[in-house]
Amino acid sequence: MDREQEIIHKILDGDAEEEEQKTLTQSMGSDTGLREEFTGLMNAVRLLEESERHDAPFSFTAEVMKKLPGRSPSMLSRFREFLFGSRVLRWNMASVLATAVIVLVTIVTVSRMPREQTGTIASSSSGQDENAVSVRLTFQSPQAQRVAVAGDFNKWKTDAHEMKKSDGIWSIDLQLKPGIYSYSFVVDGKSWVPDPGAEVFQDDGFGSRNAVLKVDI
Amino acid sequence: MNIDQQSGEADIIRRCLDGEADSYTVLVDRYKKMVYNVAYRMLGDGDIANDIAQESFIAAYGGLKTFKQDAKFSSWLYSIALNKCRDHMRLTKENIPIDDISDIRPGSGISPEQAAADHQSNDLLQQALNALPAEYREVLVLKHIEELDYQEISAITGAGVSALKVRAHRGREMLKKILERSGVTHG
Amino acid sequence: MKRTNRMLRFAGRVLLLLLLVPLSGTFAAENRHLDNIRSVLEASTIPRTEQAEVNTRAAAAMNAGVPGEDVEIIVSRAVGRGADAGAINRFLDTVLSAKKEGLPVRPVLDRIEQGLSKGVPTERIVAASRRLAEKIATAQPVVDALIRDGMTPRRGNEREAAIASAARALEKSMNAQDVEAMGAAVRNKRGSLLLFTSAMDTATYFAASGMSPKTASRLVRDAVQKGSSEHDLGAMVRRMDDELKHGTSAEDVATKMERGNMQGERGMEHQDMRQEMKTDREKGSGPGMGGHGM
Repeated sequence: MDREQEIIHKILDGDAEEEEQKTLTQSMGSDTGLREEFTGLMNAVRLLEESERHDAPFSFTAEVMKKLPGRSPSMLSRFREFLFGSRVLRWNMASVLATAVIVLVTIVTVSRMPREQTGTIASSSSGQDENAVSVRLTFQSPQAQRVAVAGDFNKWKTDAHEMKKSDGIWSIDLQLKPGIYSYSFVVDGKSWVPDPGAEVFQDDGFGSRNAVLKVDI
Repeated sequence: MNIDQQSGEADIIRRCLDGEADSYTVLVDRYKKMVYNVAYRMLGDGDIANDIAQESFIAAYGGLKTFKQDAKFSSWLYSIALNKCRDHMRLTKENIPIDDISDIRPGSGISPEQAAADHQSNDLLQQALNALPAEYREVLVLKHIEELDYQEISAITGAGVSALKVRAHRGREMLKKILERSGVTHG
Repeated sequence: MKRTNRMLRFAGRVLLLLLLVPLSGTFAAENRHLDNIRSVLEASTIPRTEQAEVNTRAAAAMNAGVPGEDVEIIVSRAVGRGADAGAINRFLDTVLSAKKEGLPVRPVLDRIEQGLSKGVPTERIVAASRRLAEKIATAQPVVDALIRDGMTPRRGNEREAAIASAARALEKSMNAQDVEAMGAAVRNKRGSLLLFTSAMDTATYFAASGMSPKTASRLVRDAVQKGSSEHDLGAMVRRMDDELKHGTSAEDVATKMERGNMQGERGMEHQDMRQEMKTDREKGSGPGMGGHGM
């Protein structure tokens, strides 16, 4: 058993010679115990080899760089550390109750206020929004059968904002709230063309670019 | 790792020593997954692994002067990380005595959502690893998860190759026993 | 003592209920998204056991505050693109981790949704969205410092857009110092966060066209310091496009731009360019780079 065990481990180390492997295979043929031993060890090793490799958190590099010796923490990072550094807080019941009352009052007050949406609009159908601005996009492409606009304002759907053709020029009126948007034209459902008429462009992270639209009041 | 990458690293290290701290980002980005994963597998906890991994890089930066240019930066980083893991385990008396391994069983941990949320490992392998003595754990992690050869493991841990092989053999046997006892036979 | 305890516990429960009332609407919406996700997965070729994993992760993401609509879009689009459970899980993990680390998650969601829509290979999308999240972690404190120094976002998603733009610059190998320096230049000119965002996007575009990141960021920073507006930066981009079309290398364009003063020599530009084109034609232009090639 000892000699064979040795060979098993050599195999798992990737060190075994062909002769030794042959010997082991022969022995395993008649020895169930040995076979089970081998399979058990193989499985254990396989579990290790195929185990999930965990990723470090996204802020890892930023955190390390911030903490390197010789880099004195700025006011900002000390402030951030004060706010967001993990710590143990001790409470007493009075503080808990007082906080709870404040939270409750705030919720009641806020829920009475008219709701204000921040950020880009999620759907395209809101024509009634008070501070939405109408923006016209045009695109010259006489040969195209279909042209749509896809952008971060519509989650890059290629069928939500179809443009209308007139004399070889495609156009659409978008209702957008003030903000910065990136978008592209989608020609015939497959070609992505960043608006040639845009003033500003933006890297899309995949080797091409999008047009940028800034909406002000 | 090829020659280009190694000479590139020598270059980066030189720049760091010259005061260009920003170049260090390249090394951090290159090895963070490796260091984090080793710390994770040694300690079984994502948040602690994060702290230890960060400390390892910071310590390496501080000790760049002492780093020999012809050595492998990754090996050096591994040994710093393992030392920190050992220190941590010593402080928290992590090593469970061998008699207690019968307590390991699947599902004895937390729910998958909780695990995902807390960066903790619910998986059986980690629980089994946690039960191994540190020396066995180290070899198995470096040999079978990081896929290093014994020469490099020897350089990293300072132990001789034959000693390491003995630890690997014993570690595998123990791991097999633990896994079988908790019901994972022929996975 | 016991009576006080009971009263406190009762008060605690009432407070909890009151807190839950406004949230119950959100729960219903989230359940709808989870149901849709379940249906999409059931109709796919993904094995049942793996479907469960995806469902768990989707729920975890929503519980962490990621909008259900986006989670649903990502899962359904990914399934539509033939992605396997592993890839879908990686998308959801990326988003969940970003959210848990307190990073703005919208730019990451946006990149994943965009990549899936554009038909980019799934592993490439995973890599690109992870990369973005990392750079966002570095960019966020820099942008927040600028905001604290007075560059107030006036409306909408300006803060997020600024962080995303800075992150994209970091993707093109600019570093935190470059971003800070750009911010300082904009601040010194009393510029807005929008100008900062445009400046970062312009520098990123130059770096993507072949300029070294140091040159790109220095060039745009100098332009800002000379008083360039967003419109002027746009003009720089158009000039770069034109020059690249005629085969000039990005670094050479940088040299030209540095020589000329973008502000006062508008009229001269056209003459210079015509001269350049004539010379190029005589010499025989080299391989041109399409204006959209990055």
